This record gives sequence, structure tokens and C-alpha cells, in this order.
Amino acid sequence: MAGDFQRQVRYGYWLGWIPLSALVVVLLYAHKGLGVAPALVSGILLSLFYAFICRSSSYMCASLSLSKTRIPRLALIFVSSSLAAAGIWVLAAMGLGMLVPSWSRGLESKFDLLFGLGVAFYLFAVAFNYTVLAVYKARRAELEAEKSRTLAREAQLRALRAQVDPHFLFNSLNSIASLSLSNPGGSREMCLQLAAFLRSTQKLGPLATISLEQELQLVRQYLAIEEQRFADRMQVHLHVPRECQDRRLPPLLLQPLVENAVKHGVSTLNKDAWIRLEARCDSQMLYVSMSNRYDPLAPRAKGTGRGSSLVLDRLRASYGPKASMRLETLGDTWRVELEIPSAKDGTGP
Amino acid sequence: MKKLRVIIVDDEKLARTYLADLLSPYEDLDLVAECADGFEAVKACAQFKPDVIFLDVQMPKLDGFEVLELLDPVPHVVFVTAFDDYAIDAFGVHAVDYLLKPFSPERLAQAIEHVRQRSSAPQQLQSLLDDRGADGRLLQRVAVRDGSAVHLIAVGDLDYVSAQDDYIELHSGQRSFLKHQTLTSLEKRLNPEDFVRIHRSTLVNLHKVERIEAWSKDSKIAIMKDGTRLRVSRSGYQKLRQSLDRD
Repeated sequence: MAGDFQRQVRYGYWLGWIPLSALVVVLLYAHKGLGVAPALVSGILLSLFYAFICRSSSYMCASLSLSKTRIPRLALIFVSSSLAAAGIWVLAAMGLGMLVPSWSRGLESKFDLLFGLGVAFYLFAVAFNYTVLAVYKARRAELEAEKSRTLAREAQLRALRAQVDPHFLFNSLNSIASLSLSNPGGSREMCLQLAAFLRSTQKLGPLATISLEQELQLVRQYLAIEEQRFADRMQVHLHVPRECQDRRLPPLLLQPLVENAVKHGVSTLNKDAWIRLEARCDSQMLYVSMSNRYDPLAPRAKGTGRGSSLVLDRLRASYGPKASMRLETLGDTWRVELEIPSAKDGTGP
Repeated sequence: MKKLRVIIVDDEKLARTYLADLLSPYEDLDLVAECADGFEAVKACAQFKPDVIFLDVQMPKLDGFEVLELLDPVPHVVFVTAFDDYAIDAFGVHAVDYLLKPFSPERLAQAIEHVRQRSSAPQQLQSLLDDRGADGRLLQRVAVRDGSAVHLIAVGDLDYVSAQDDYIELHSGQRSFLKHQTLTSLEKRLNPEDFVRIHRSTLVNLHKVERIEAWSKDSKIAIMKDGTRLRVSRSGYQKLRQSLDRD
């Protein structure tokens, strides 16, 4: 970025000298000055020389901050250095006149003009330098701000990363312990399921998105394990149209909702529990609806209340106000609806 | 040694099987029932009068603490749960032990040893009864046992509760239920914004009060929405006025 900018500035500076050297040539030629060819050659040579002189002012500008140096001091420095530079230029013109005696008269008649131009060009170069420095600073500040915004967002998302409820692990391990006595084959099977699920969740980064189909695969793996615990009483329905399967969403976004459906739904009922997950999508949005039966009179289980608010926080952090979440209860049905900005071509907003 | 009668209560079949498998080598334990929810547990306890109950906390219908409230006499309780959040509440109801799932056979042996020690010492059942339910949670419903049947009354459906000796009578709509509990212990677990003690022997649901009328020079009477008239004591009247003014 910075390298690009410096190269552009260098090109700009030398391109800027093309009209300036044309001006010098014309002035050397005008009013009984040099002939066309001598004016052209000496004008270009002198301009080239002076362009290097003026270029050196950029170091001075870089070390003299406009905001931190007092104005009189700045004025003194640049007036004196511009006079010195213009003087050097005139000396150069004199030198050229000595080298090519036939030009010396023509050049001599323009010394006052060259001196004036030299001061003006030098001050132009100073102004150019400061403009460049200001633009550079502004761009860098913008980049820094952007970078810190990104960092803050990443940190926020990392903090909000969905984690598998540890109680799920304890209960699953208890089921495995039980199966190890009564059904060793089953316990091995459940160990493998649990390992597969945990490995899948470990692979997910905190920031990237995954496709709805991948997310559903996690949900299926999770529910397959829970079905070992609640086999006799829970039914799972997943309805996701094919065209929505490749929509992207933050990984494990649905996990807390599915965990809630088990914890506050299935485990409060001794039969006929169900969990239903449906999705639909249009060109810009993905709509996910999850509902489950529950016992409205059941005492609230402990260590809760964070699940659904975590989902909303993650949605807000990733998509801002474009995303939304709605909770409702209808009789013995608990329902949550998510609106996730997720366009058809797989890009977010 | 007398055999201890054991009941297992857990809504997960695998969890029940695990415990039953680990208990089977103990010859002085007699597993009399396995229950999959709180209702079954209350029923089985009434039928078998167990010495020990292994009790899960989160279960359908009634949670472990609600089951305990309905048991009379109260057996020795060992909580078995994956959540350590309930440990303090378990102390509140004098649980003998608190097993965290999954637990080892050795840890279970310890718990059984604790039960044996506890059962050889004389029990103070009455203090246990008073402390039951003193786990600091606000009630959302009240569980009442009627024979082997269990009624659940949502707290919002209660009209008022009156004290009858060692019992409380819960009034909800046209029905009333008796429960072995003190009015004070129930009052502690109801939201004070909804329920006010208007008299030494009466706790009333504010949302079911129609109006207050003067009864005599010193006393007032509360008229409920269903027409029931309840006496209000002087201090009860002050509390009632404060609560109603707050709304």
C-alpha cells in the first residue's frame, strides 16, 4: 500500500515538471532570448537539474511538521532555502553559459527571471510535499481505523463463538458409561459419534461462515447423540429446501437453539417431544425457524438464558441490524425465527 | 443388617440402567423401583416407602426438588445430576450426597456409605420437612399430592392460601388442595410482588383481589374477584396498601 503510494507520488512529481520545463523553455526563448534549439536544450537541462534540487526539499518537509513547528520559523526556513535553491539554479545557468559561450548572452538576460521562477518552483515543491504528506497521513489513519475496527469485530465474534454446552458432554459420557456395562458395542458407537461431533465443531474457525448444509450436518450429529438419551420420546424433523442448502451462516449459530430445544423442550416431557427445524430463502435472505414442544409449567432449568441471547449477539455482530431474531410461545410450542442476510451467490451483505 | 430399600428416579433410561447395574452387587440394598419421571417417583415412594432415593433434578413433570416436597416420610436423598448448579440447593434440603454424572463405582460406594451412616442415626424428620423447598428459587407452580395423584397448580392460578394447623389450603378457582407445609415457608418462595400476607393465616394473590372494604372500626376485609371475603389484619392492610399503591 505505502509503496504504491510513494511510487505514484514520484510519478506525479516528475510529470508535474514536464509543463514546468516547457514554461522554462518558452521563457528562455521569449523576448529576444535564445534561439529555439538552444532554448529547448538549455531549458530541459536546467529544469532537470532544478527538479532534483527541489526534490531535496521533501526531506526537509518530512522533518518539519506543519502543526508542530511555529509559523515564523517555517517561513524563515523555506524563504531562505528557496532563495538559496534559486541562487544555485542561477549559478547553474551561469555555468551552462560558460560551457556554451554562444548561449551565455541569452541566458544572462534571463537570470532575474530564472531566480524568480526558482523561488516560486521551490515553494511549489514545498506545498506539493506537504500536500502529499497530509494525504499519506489521512490514508494511513483510515487504514489503521479500518484495521482496528476489523480487529474489534473479530475479537467480539471470537468471544461470542458458540460453544457446546458442557452438560451435554457430561450426560453423554454418563450414557457411554452406562452402555459400557450393558451394551459395549453401543458404547463404542456412541463414543465414535461424540468424537465425530466434537471434531467437527473443533474444525470451525470463529470467523468464517459455513453452509447451511454443513450446519445441519452438525445439528444432525448432535441430535443423533441426544437421541441415545431420549430415544423413546423425541422426534426430529428437518425441512430444508435444496436451494437453501448452500447459503452461508456463522458456524454453530443454531447449536444453542438446538441445545435449548433439548434442555427446555425434550427433557421437560416424558413423551411426544419433537423438534422441528425449517428453512426457506429468497435472493438476499435466509430464514430459519426452529420450534419444539415443551412443558410451559416446568420449572426453569438452571444455568440458562444465555443460549438465545448469544445467538442474537452473534447475528448482530456479524450482520448488524439486517439480521433479526424472534421468539414466541404458542400453547406448548416454543418457536424461534431467524432472519439471516445470506445471498444466493454465497456472499454475505 | 436391615436391607435398605432403594428407588432410582431419572428420566433417561441409560442413566437408570447404569445406576441399577452398579447397585446390583450390593446385597444389603433392595432396588424396589425405577421411575422415569417425578409423578412415578411420588407414586412409587407412597407405595414402597423407600429408605433411599437416587434422584435426578431435571425431569419432566416434576423436578427433583418438587418430588421431595411431596414425599412423606422423606427418604434419604442422593441427587444424581450432570449439573453442579444445584449442589447448594441440595444442601438446603439435607441431601445425603450429590453425585455428578458420570460418576465412578467408588464414588457411588462413598455415597452409599454416607447413607448407611445417616440411616443409623436418628432422623429429625420435622426439621427436614420445614426446610424442604428452602432452596431460594421462586416457585412457578405448586405441587400437591392427593393420595397417589399429583396436582400442579400454576402460581398465577392461585387465589389465596390459608393456614390450617400443620397444613395449608390452596384455593384455585372452585377447587382447593391441602398440603403439609407452613404458610411462612410457602410465602418465602412466592414473588412478594404478587402475593401478600394479609393475615396471620392468609396469603393472597394480589391480582385476584377486587377491592378492600371496611369491616368494623379497626378491621378491613378483602373482596376477591370471585366474591370470597377474607379478613385483613391491621399490619396486613398496611402491606396490602403498599403493594397496591406500587401498581
